[in-house]
Amino acid sequence: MELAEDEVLGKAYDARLMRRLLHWVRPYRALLAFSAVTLLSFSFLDLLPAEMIKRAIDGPVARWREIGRDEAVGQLLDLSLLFLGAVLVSLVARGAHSIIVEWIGQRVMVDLRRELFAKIQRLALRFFDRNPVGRLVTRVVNDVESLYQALSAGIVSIFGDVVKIAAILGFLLWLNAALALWIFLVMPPLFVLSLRFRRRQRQAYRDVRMEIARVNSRLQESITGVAVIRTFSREDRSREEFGALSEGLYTAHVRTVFGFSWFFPAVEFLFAIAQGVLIWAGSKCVAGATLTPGEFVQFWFYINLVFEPIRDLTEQYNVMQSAMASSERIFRILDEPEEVPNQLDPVPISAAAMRGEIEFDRVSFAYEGENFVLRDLSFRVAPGESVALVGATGAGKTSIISLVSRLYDPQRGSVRLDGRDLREYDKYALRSNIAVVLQDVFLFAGNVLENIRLSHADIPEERVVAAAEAVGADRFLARRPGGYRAEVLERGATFSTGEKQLLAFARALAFDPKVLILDEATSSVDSETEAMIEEALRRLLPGRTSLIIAHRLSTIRRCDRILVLHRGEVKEQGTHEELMAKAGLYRRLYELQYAAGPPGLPGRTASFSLD
Amino acid sequence: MKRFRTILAFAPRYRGLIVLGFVCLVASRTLALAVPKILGRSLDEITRGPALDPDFVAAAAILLVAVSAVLGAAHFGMRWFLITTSRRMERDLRNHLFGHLLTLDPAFYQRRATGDLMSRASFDVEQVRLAIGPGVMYIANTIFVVPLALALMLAASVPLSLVAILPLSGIAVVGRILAPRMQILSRKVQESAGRLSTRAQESFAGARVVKVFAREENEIREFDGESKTYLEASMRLAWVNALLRPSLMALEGVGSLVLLFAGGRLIVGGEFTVGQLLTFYAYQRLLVWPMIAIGWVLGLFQRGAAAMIRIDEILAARPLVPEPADPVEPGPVRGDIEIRGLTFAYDGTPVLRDVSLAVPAGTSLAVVGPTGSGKSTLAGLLLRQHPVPEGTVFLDGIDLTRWPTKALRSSIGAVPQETVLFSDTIRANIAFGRPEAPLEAVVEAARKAGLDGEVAAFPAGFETLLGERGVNLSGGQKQRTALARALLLSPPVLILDDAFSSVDTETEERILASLAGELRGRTTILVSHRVSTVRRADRIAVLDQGRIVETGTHDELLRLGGRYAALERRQRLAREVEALA
Repeated sequence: MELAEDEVLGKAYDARLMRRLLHWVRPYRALLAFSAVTLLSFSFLDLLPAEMIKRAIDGPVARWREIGRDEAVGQLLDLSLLFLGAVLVSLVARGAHSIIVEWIGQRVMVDLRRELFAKIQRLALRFFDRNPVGRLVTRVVNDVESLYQALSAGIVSIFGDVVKIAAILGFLLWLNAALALWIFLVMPPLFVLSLRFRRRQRQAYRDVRMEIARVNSRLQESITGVAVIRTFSREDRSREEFGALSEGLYTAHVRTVFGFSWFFPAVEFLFAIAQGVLIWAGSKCVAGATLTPGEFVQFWFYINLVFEPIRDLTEQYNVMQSAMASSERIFRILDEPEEVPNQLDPVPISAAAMRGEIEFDRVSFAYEGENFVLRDLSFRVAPGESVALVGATGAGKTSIISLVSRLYDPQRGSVRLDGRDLREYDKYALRSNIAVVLQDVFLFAGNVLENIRLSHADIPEERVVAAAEAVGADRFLARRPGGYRAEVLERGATFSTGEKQLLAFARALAFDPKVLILDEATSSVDSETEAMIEEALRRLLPGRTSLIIAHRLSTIRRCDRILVLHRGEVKEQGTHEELMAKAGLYRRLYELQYAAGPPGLPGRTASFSLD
Repeated sequence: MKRFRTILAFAPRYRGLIVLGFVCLVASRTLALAVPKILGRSLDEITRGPALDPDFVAAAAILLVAVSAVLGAAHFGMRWFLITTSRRMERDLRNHLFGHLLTLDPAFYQRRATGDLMSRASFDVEQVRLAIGPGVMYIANTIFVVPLALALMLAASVPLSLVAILPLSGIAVVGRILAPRMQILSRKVQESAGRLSTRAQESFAGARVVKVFAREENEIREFDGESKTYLEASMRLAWVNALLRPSLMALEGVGSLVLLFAGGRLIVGGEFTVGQLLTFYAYQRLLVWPMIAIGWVLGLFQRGAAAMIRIDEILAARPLVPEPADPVEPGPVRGDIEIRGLTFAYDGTPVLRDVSLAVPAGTSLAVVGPTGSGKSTLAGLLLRQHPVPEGTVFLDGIDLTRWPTKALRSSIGAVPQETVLFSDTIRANIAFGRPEAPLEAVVEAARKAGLDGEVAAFPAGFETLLGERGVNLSGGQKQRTALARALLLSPPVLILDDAFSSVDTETEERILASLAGELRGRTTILVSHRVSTVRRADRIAVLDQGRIVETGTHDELLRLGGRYAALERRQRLAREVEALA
């Protein structure tokens, strides 16, 4: 399961990964240095108040009878003002630090996301076949986020915490080594306890997420299937099963509650022990005059201050751990070799100079391993010729058109355009010079005009309009507010299937390519749209090399030649009449699809209407 | 609290745990107030310098650790008892809500989006839990600690208390001003993150299209734009964050320093001791968290109450089909169906008008008609998915409204129009209505539904998992699984509502042929728009706009030359036209 892969944790520090990560931070090193300065200043300023308090206690408070009341109050005021100064400067430093670190983290995240996303976009379709979309989204969104956390909450705070802990411990040692060592005794248990707590909580939350997913998917299924549950009288059993899942979620939650319940009291208790030790051992020092009462209080404040960073450090350990795992996964993608590499010195390609001859020369192709879907396939499509690809599911039709767009490279043999292997062209130029109409027409966010032009922004608007008129798309476009500038929402949600289909034809016609690839929609459309599509095809095919995965008989008959494919090989070819006369595979396919089997049964595509 | 009545109804059963929780709360907070006293007294002794009494100090140290041990245990108990109880109540509410959802009719679900129901059953339940769990715990904490600490502070020194409270109220004010702003901004950051995910998701899902149209650069540009929007949203939140935490810490610092000065002055005057001041300072620190938390806790209650209302809305929905007041005790069902003058409206729109039909036990009736003619409603009424008007529909001569729903449903096997399968094994899906059925029976049902061959080809056969984590069946395979599920019940009455729409005609023909024996002696109702499905039925009723316009056998209706004949001709013509093309 994906969850498992994504939550595997390794070490919290890996020098090799760290070096690569630092590469991303480099552009911001000046700011980073500045943030370190702010960090050091407020960490230092945080230590000042306790010093002021010590001075107050050992100074005016202890000696006010000697120096006089007014003088004592004056000294108190001076100390308080210094204290105030420290508080105010630390406020500014802390604020500045927080905003700078956030800014660096966010910038690095944007940079890294762009690079990662662009890399994924450049990877071949094979990569997408192997990696589920959800996993890729996790890489780009969550893994990058966890690197950001490592940067903003991890590396920087670790530096700050370590400095702070070292400073406090060093100071305490200097102040009174024996007492300090006594108190340090509680530090290792605190560290171990915190580490244990974080680990357990992490695991517990992972369990909670899994249980939530279980409960939710059951909930979802039960809501969509409630009629079935009731029809089959499964209510009691469903309730029981849901109850069991619900109990599982409850148990997982309770484990997290347990963690929180013991950890905070335990830390408090360790703190109490530290205080007890301080009172007991500290009083001895005071009695022996090796420690002043003011220093005793200072000790108390510093113990207070050192607890928090120690607790935090353990959290940062986890942050770093998951960041290392994330960066490993991110770098794996960044290092992914490109399977359909682009020619460095490509043969120029242009729609105008293209003849449009397509040739498959002994092509063998497999999506995976030795599972060949095309076997030693050879055929040639002359310039201007239209060829229908016919065959059962899995015959290799889609693979053929994928190879022509160079979404994949064949394992053996060569696919040629105008006599040159496709690998000699720039793949992006190649793709933008072939018009493709896919089954599921895809509209991009933007407006209608942009969607018809696509990568050819130089197509004049008149030609776009003419193309839309030619395929009959102008009729529904005219009804839309904004016409050709009507906004297209995400993936064309506001257009019907038929409308999208016509827009795709307009796209192809406006661009006027030499090569057209058409994967005809299987879904039935209403008769009006059907007629429009036929009309559009009538205009689109002449003079163009076309490869068509055809489902409609009218389309098949419009083509110059039919290639009948079976298991990746061409079994028959010819015109409809020739193939029907042959009484072979084509005829059988034809009967299955269009004549719907034995006599007496109605045709598949017939729709019910009593009007 | 009244607004939380629904979930609080689950509280009495956990009375013991709740009482324990509050006892722990009171104990832990009382001891928390005692600790500063011990600290202060020790410090006073220590400030005497070399003259201090070591036994007193040692006793104080031991007392401090002992008190803290009990305090820790009580603190643990407080969280453990109160929070786990809230989790128990959350679980009970979730189960209650689930059980209630199962009692509601299709009509209810037609008006509600699944996503909305899901969000109420998971997100809203959690919101309610946050209010009655942590919310109540923190409020109780505040109610108990704040007055006591204040009283102790006032008792120590009134002027010092006034000085100490001022920065605290500053904390409350800053919290109240910035916290809501933070909440809004972090929601915006969340939304932005959501859009970023969606953007990436759509782009990756459409990889083929992006490549075919050489749109990579565009996609990168758009994603980068979204990514920058996310940065902007995050930075807006960062500014508030950069203001909030440092200023809270600064206010805390100011709180300490005014104590240092004002308290110091009192000590210098001999009115106060250093130990007393430390105690005082510790009390002030106890008040900081409740001050920061108060805004947050109020928010918890507001959101919890709103969530409770949304949950109550669902719980208030009642099934439209009530259990009969005086149910019959049905014996073995024969399967005689009679419909007399049935008129039925759905949300005010008449769907069936004056429909009368008789299906004698063991015969088959086919209902054909265009989309929206009322076919599926008719099927649903027989299953009592909608409220059946009294005196209109009879099974074995007994009014449907007098049948106990369970008995009725267990004697009718149905294959609904929309196939629903569950993420479980194929076997469990087929045995859905008879979970204890032996494997042989399941295989037999699958065979009758024409599914066995394909199932055998799956890696784990009948134990193959379906759904997200398993195999995805084709539409036709799903329908045949649903058919097997109904057949396994061997019910006296079988309703097939457009059960072959995704199955190709050839397979349909094969299944119908193999079912012929199975259907003999069973009352069967076939709903379809395909002549091929219905032609073999004993009787065919043609429905149009809720009325029965023709009835008869296939041959009779063809001879009649009406709607059915027209339909048959159309479907035949379509085939012939294509054959000619």
